[in-house]
Amino acid sequence: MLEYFFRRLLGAIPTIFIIILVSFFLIRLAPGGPFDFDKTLAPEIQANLDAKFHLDEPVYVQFGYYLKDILQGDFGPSFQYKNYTVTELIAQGFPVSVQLGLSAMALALLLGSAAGILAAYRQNSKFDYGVMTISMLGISVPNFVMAPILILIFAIVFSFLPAGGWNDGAFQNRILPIVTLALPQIAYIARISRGSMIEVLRSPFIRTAFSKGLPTFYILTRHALKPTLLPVISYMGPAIAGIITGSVVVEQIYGIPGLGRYFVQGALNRDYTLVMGVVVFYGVFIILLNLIVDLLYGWLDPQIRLQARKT
Amino acid sequence: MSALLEVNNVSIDFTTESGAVHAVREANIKLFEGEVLGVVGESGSGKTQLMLGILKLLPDNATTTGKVFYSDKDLLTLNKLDINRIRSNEIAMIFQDPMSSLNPYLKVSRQLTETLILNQKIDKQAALKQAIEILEKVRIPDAARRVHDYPYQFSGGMRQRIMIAMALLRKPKILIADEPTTALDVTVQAEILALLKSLRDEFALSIIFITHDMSIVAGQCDRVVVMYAGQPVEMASLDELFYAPKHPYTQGLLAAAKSQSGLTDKLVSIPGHPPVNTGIQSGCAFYPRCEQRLDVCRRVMPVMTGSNTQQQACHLYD
Amino acid sequence: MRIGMAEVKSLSPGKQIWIRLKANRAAVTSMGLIALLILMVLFAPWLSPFNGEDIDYEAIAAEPSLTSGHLFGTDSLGRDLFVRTMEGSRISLAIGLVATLVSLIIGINYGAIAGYFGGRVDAVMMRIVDILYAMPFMFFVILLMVFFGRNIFLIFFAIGAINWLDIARIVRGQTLAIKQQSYVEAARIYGASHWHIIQRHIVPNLLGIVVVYITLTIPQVILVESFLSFLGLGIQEPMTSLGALVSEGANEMESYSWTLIFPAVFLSIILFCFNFIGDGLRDALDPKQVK
Repeated sequence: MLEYFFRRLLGAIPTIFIIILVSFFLIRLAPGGPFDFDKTLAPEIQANLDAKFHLDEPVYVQFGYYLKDILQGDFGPSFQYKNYTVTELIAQGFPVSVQLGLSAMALALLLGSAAGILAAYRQNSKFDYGVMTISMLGISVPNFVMAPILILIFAIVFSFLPAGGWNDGAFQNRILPIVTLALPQIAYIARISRGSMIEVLRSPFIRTAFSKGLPTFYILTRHALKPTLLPVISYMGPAIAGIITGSVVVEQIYGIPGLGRYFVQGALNRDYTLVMGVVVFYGVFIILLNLIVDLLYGWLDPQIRLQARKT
Repeated sequence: MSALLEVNNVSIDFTTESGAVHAVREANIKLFEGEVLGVVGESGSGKTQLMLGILKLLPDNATTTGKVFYSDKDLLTLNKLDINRIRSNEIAMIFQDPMSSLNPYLKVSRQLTETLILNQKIDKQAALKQAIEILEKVRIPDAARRVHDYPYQFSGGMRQRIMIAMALLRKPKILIADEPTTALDVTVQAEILALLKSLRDEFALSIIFITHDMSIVAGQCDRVVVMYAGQPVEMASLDELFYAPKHPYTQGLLAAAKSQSGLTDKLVSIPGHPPVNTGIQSGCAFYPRCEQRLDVCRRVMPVMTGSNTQQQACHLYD
Repeated sequence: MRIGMAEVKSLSPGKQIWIRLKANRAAVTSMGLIALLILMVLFAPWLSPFNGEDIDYEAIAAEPSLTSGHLFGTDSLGRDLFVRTMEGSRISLAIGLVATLVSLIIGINYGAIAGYFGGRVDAVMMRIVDILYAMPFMFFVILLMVFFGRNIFLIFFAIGAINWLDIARIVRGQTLAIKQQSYVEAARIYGASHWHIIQRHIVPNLLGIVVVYITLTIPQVILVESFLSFLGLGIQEPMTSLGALVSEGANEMESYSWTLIFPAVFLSIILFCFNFIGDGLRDALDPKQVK
């Protein structure tokens, strides 16, 4: 298990490094960006810039300073919000996004697995067919289509819920955003767990369990559940990436002051440092989360946990 | 003498996308107490399906007709609770591939003790103790420690021993062994067969031994049923089968087996291939491959006739 | 055939696939819908007296009606929604196709090279795929849009560059399997070049998979493009896509809900149908796979 962990860690580090490297060069090369000096500047200003960004030194030294800054959490000043650094903005927006994201993930896992497993147990029934069709809807209909429709139904036609706004995290303000974020993931997880369960139920070891006269419920929960859920756990990595991507649109539509919305505003206003900072931040975040998911999977699979030797 | 287990006119059909498949047609088989009954046939002969059918382990698209008598009850009519009791305490089955037949995510201790704990209501400590004892009986070294391991940590032969242990722990009256050595190396095969032989008396088992290997039949069985295309075609005691086989298919099997073990010069095999079990059939299923066929064989399906000890379904003996 | 046994006809694999596909009602309905949609999108605007840019001052933000000729109504600027939806659909579908082709080209070559050369090369290339797989690509695409402008070719390329990972993996797997086959060995003994082997032996075997991949990628790509356009980072005026139309509609939905509903429904139907077709094709090609 330890060996597995270190191998994964070793794989993560170069990835993070590459993300930072790519972001470094993108900022330098962007037309109209902070390093686009098309007008000749007054010597004092140029000297200031040289000192601050070490422009007189070779590229790899500049990169070294850049790397050091990033590792210390300094992404530079924001372009649009002159009084704030990117780090401060991230610190403001991220907690909000995390709350929404975690809730959506939990909802998706619970509902998705339950639906998928039930559909598999009652394969080819009307319920199964319904689950497959609705999950197809969840996957096909984009969240930016679903959100306005949900708002239309629940906030405008039937005024159950507020149409938007964060309201300091009030419960009714969270419902629609969380549901919108969760829907595509519920669909994917339902499909994955259904497929997985069907395959597990066909396995020889399940037949052995039945042949021993064990009760069906026991077989489903103690023999079948774990192998069924392993692929779902593997999916957590892409699921997290999907929720983060979805948050961009969901926060925008519902007016939630999360990191996704800052990102969009930054993109529309050409706030290079903010956009860059968010990408690097989220990139590293996702890599670390994937590492955790990998570890979880490794712990659950006895062959990995106990470091399988060939028998 | 009445049979311990009596299969009465059992047919098993599967509904599939490409139509109905008749896996077993009107099978009649008896198992007597204390004997080892061999069930022999090629793949597709229906032998495994029949055994699964007895324990109601077939998938939903299978229809089973007929009766299976055990202990004055028809097993096929039992409800979930009752059939589970039979599976747990009376009739145990072990399967062909021990790697995939054991749950890779559960410890061996759990897989051994769960029936005891759930069905026979024995407490955990006592069940674990019994599990360790049975592992020692099937000659797993260092049983007390290894009982807490996972299946992948054992070799193929040891896993099959674990399967046998799992079956015997429940002290069944009947053991159905579905090709238990086919997936194992030849040397390991011999060990497992010897183990089964020694345990049989100790546990007072009656065994149904499914195989396609005639040499195993010769070494293990008291009586033999030969199946072809879903039907039993010959039933005889071991000696009668080997020294005076009546059905042409049986004769072909024996000739092929002898040639394989190098007792003759040429490699003999039965010409043609096993039939596809779809559609309605008239006449004998073996007709296309039979070298002793008669005209009547094409039109009329033969029924089992013969003495008390040896019977065959063949027009040659009508 | 055997006497007394039922005749078992054996059909060619192509025929079998077609039969299985036809049995899938959802896939068949979807194929019909998409065909209908494509016809509609290509030809219907000619039937309408309006085009998507002219402003009809007499019918600003008008409801859909058959009498006024504005089948889908007009938006808040007075532009006919029907024609705009058709144009938007056209662009969305076009981008879908082109970007899918881009990703196909990248993916097939990447996967074939990795699978064919195997060993170290393969290990490194697949490691890169693994790493890229978990990345939120949307962010990188948006990054590129921000930094380098909203050039339509950049959009094609950026979106196409997102999706090649899946096809690369599949192609690599197939290549590895085919490489082991003896006819490839024979070709090599006869001195065929690597390139020749890849083209003549490996690529033709991938046809089925590629078709499935295309039908499943087109909706993904359209989704990405709509996402960008919705945020205002994609297609620029005067071109419009379904994503942009949904965005406009969402802004006006409190008062003029049809401006949201029509483009939303079209977008959803297109994505829905392609997904069903892709699913159906995949099942038809490999029925042993869990349905």
